[in-house]
Amino acid sequence: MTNPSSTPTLTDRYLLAVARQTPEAQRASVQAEVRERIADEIDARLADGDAPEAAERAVLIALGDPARLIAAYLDRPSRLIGPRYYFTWRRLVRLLLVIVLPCVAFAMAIAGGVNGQPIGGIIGSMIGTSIMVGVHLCFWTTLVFALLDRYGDRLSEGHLSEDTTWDPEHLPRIEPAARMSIWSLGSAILWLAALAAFLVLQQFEPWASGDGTPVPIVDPAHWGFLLPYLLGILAASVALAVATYLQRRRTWWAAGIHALLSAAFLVPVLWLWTQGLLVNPAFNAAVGVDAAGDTVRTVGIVLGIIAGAVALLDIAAELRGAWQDGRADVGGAS
Amino acid sequence: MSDETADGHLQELRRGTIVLACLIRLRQPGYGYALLEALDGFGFKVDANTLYPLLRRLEQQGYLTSEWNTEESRPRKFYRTSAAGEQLAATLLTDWERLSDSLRRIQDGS
Repeated sequence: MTNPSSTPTLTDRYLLAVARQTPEAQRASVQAEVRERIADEIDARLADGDAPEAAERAVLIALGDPARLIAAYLDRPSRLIGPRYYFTWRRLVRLLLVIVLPCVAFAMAIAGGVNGQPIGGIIGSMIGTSIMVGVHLCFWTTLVFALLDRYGDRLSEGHLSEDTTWDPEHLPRIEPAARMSIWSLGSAILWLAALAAFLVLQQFEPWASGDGTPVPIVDPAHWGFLLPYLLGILAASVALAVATYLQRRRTWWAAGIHALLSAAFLVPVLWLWTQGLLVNPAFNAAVGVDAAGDTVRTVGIVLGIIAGAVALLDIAAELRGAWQDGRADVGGAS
Repeated sequence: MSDETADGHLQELRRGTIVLACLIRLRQPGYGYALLEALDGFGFKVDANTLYPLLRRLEQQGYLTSEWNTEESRPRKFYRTSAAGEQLAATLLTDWERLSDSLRRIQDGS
């Protein structure tokens, strides 16, 4: 049933549920076929004198739970995880891998750095542990879903099970997608601009010296490569934020590039920071900090961990946004 | 014998004949609901939940071809029996007649 008004009909919601549970390759064709079928069956009921809403309801109830309908349409072979949970499973595993593995790798790097391991050893333990964690993560998640798929009906009230009546009210609601607002674009740009301004202005910062001559905070030697490189990344981040805003949806691509840019910024900065090569020795001398002292080293590592954790949270938020917008876009129930 | 088990046997007996009926009927292109009605008119009671997925499957197996017709108010998918479908129909039909013949002879007890 086409829906010229903006209120989504039960049919729209049914088609959305169908789309969400169908693999991308077959999504469009299955959805179109189901749409045709629903419309034809509603027409037949209208011809028999049913009221429009009652006809729609009766047709959808006869179609039954979308998950079961799709299983029949796709004629799936025997499987570990059925259509009801497959897409949830796939999304969850992806999301977990994307969030947990970088955290693990990051933690290994920090631990290796604190223990003073050579860089090769740190990279080796990052890769090894990430693979192990990834395998465990996939295995246990899959096991839980496989059990849920087989026995979930017996555990729950089981509105999806065969013997109870499926109700169209169980269909997902169609909500307008949460788009990136002009405010979040503004705050993102403001933050990036502030960071860039700090990187440039710290060069002329006079407060550390007693006599008003500027003492740069960051080692001025870094103007050779690091500082221009960081400013470039900040510029790229601004461009990405604008592009995301103009697209009016957060995509996996944008979230991935954002993660790369964050890593490209933080990894060299944190590495130099932990090696004591980031800050200008003259600045340390001027403010009376012993860069080699244990306290300063410990504080430095804690600050590094906090910076890394904030960056990971930020990356996770972006991925979540991409996931939400992707979900809102699936189906396009028109 | 309960009605339910009898129904089960009936369904099993009919399953293959639905494929045959579709292949024959779709020598003239038709869409899902029209086919359902037509088969119904010929005394073939087919459940929509069986027919629609079956059409899709036959198409994937190459026995039917399909085309979206967008000329009318709503787009509809029109199926048509392919050359391979014709061959399958001939094979099935021959076998159907042979079986029916065999059954008759078994009944006659000769």
